[in-house]
Amino acid sequence: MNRKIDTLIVGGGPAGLAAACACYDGGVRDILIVERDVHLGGILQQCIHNGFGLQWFKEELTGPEYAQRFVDEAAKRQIPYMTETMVLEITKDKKVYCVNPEEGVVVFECKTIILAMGCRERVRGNLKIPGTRPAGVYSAGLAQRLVNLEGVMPGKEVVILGSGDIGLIMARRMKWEGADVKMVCEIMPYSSGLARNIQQCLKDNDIPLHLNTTVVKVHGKKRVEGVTIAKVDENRRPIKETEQFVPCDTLMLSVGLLPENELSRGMDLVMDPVTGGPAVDENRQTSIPGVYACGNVLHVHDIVDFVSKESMIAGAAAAAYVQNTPEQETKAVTMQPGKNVRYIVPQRLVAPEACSLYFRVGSPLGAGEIRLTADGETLLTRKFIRAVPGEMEELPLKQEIAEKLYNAKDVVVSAIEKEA
Amino acid sequence: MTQQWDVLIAGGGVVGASIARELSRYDLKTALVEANSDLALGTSGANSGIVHAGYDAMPGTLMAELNVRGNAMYPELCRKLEIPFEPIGSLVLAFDEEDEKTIQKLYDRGQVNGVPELKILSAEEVKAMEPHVTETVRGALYAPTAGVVSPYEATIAIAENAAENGVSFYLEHPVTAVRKTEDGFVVTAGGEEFACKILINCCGVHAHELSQMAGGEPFKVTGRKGEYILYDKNLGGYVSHVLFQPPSKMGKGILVTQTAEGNMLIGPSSMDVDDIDDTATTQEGLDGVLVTARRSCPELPAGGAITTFAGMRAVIGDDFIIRYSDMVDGLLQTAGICSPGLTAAPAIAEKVAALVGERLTLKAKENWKDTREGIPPFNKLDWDARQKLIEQDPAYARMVCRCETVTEGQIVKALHSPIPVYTIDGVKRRCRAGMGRCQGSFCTPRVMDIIARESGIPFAEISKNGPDAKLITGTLKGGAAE
Repeated sequence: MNRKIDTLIVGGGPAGLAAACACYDGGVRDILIVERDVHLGGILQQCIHNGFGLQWFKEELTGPEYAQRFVDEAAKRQIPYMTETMVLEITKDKKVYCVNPEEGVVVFECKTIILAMGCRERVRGNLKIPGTRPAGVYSAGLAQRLVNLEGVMPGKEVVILGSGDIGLIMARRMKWEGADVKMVCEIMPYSSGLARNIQQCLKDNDIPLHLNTTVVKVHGKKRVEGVTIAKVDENRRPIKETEQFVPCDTLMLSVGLLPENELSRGMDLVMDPVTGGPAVDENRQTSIPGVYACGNVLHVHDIVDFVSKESMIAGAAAAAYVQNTPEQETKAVTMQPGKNVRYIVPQRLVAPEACSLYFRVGSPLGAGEIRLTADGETLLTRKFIRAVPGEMEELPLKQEIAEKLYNAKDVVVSAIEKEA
Repeated sequence: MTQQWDVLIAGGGVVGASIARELSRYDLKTALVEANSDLALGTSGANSGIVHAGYDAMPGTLMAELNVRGNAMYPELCRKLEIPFEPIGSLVLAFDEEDEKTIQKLYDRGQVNGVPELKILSAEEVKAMEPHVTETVRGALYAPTAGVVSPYEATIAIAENAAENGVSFYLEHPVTAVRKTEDGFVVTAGGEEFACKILINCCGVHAHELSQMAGGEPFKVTGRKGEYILYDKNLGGYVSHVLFQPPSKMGKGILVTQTAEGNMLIGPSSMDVDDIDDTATTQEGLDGVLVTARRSCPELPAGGAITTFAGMRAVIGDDFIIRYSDMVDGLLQTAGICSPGLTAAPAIAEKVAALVGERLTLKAKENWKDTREGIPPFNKLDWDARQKLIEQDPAYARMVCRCETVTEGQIVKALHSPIPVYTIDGVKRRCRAGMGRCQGSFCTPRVMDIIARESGIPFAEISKNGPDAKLITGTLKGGAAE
């Protein structure tokens, strides 16, 4: 028998937990968090390093501590949750099909759904790295789980490809546990990780970072015996003459995260090809009324504090929808990424009200300004000293600016470097 | 102690497994020895997975005869053994006038070989069937009887059925010596001795090595490497038939197909190599596969790949070799089984059984079981069937592999199958945990936990695919967790 529910939240990580709390605080009581793992908390459970919560809590927490704060908040509100429950399908009319060991197949008919499934790592096959297929090739997240949750070492001599934050964190973690971390290779001319991680994880631990460098071959029949690395040209194609064999027993990959949107695709949500997540409005509502998305399923965040903030918006909006199904706005203004801007979330505005735009630049920029234009007129500028793709930018819009945007046709956000 | 067997099969690929199953019909003592940690880890595990219609091979060859016969056997075999098989049909595309002549030749050859339902299609018909095919296509040879099968699942299923019917399987038993005796051989494999009356060589790319050890003919095996790119299931419907290009001397060209499990697959490259164990992919090979596949589908995406792999085909001359050795009595050779070996395997097995029957009495067993129960494919079941399964065992509601929707129940079943393999790859090849878009990044530790629990092997000892392929190298400084 199908169960009716006001708000169903898919995923009990930081996004789902924050959304649930905000939804409750918005007045909804019939809420359920559905989590596939045995615990709430999501991927934070294996992120035992510190540095979480500086923005949100103004103090430095580990991943599990940050998650626990929100688990406690949800518990305070007595928000129900089901663990070991996997959502397998969501239909366009908001039916959610799950399986759970106690109840078997469970179907929910939902007034609102908040998608908070998080993201997954890109893997070797996505990059098509040639060579053999031995044991010892790990995504950094898998290695992190083995070390931090299972208490075992996935390797002794490690080469890391990709200088994303998880890769940097794992470089330090493996080094501290006695592994010989030979190098971190990064195909781009810059790291996509946070500046503090470059310093604290690599520099402080004497781990070399090789920019413009990639792994072109994996060696070893059974276990990894080494990798061939090479410098790349400006088109990121390996330069044959620079190939070099590096003996190692482990290749760890930190080569990007992908929002996990198989459920969203299954319900034909309109997606943003750049973020890999659904296209949303400022309430984080997707193309289906009453279906919201927040956290890494929407776009990959660099810090969890932003995830919490975004999820609060989605949770509150879902609460408003439950209590007073808002008339669906027919008018929406599209936010267009301009020069040096890769994407903008939200992708559209549906009301002339204050909100923030979040975006990332496409490549590292020196000093310059962010420029918001509407029909050619500059409405807002904000100076920056530097901007890097690894750090998300926030552009708050006051009421009066939002009104002007709402009445414009052509809204563009660009990041312009100052002329040297 | 030397064990006594009527027949010993060396090699657990699809040919060895099929022969084992065929012989299991009869009152014979049959064993199979395999060097690797699992079945189908050689050529049978890394190929296109095509059940060919049978128009390629030259009339009068074993290849032609056994391909057509094997093709006809597949649908029923797969139904009885619960093997993923989709009869999606194949198209050989013609891009120019020369190609049009080639597909006409293939059509004529198919007629002689006895391939049913072949048809030459117009460009319009092809485009209507395959919207992503190139605008420049001029026609195609359509073979509705071609299909796709999961080659390693087929091999495993066939072997399991043989095991249930009494054949003994010995994994990690590489043959190291063969001694001729008065009435057969004594074969040393994995440190054990197997005495047998007939020794069947199913060693694939290593067939010449076994032949030499046994005193048989010195085959010259050419290793032909084929590289592939496998795509996410999101692109599974990109093409709905097997799309071939006109064949050349080096093989059937680069194909674009949907696999039996609904991924998109492109490949293989074709490169003769010196080292027959070299199944590493190469940048040149993979680049070539994509470029050439785009002759068939110009818009074929470069992104969306989830893995790449290479397989080795054993080529000896122009035809399969299936006969008793001329040089040593009792050695039954199956060699040079390159494409269409997967298709032909069940028919090869019939032929081999007949050859065995020339020397040993084949008395049919009364209780031979021709079916095998597979692992329930949770992701393909409807909601009612899922509910029933979970009611029987709640482990079928515990999701381990989120990408392929594989439950703990399926993994446990795989670990208790007739030929259990306690490795990550063994589980993956039996129930697809780790086979999806994240390639095991999430589920590997869970699968390791379940293997450890079900097999008693310590967590840290669990390997990817054999003793030298361990995933864990030690514990943390502070010691191991529980």
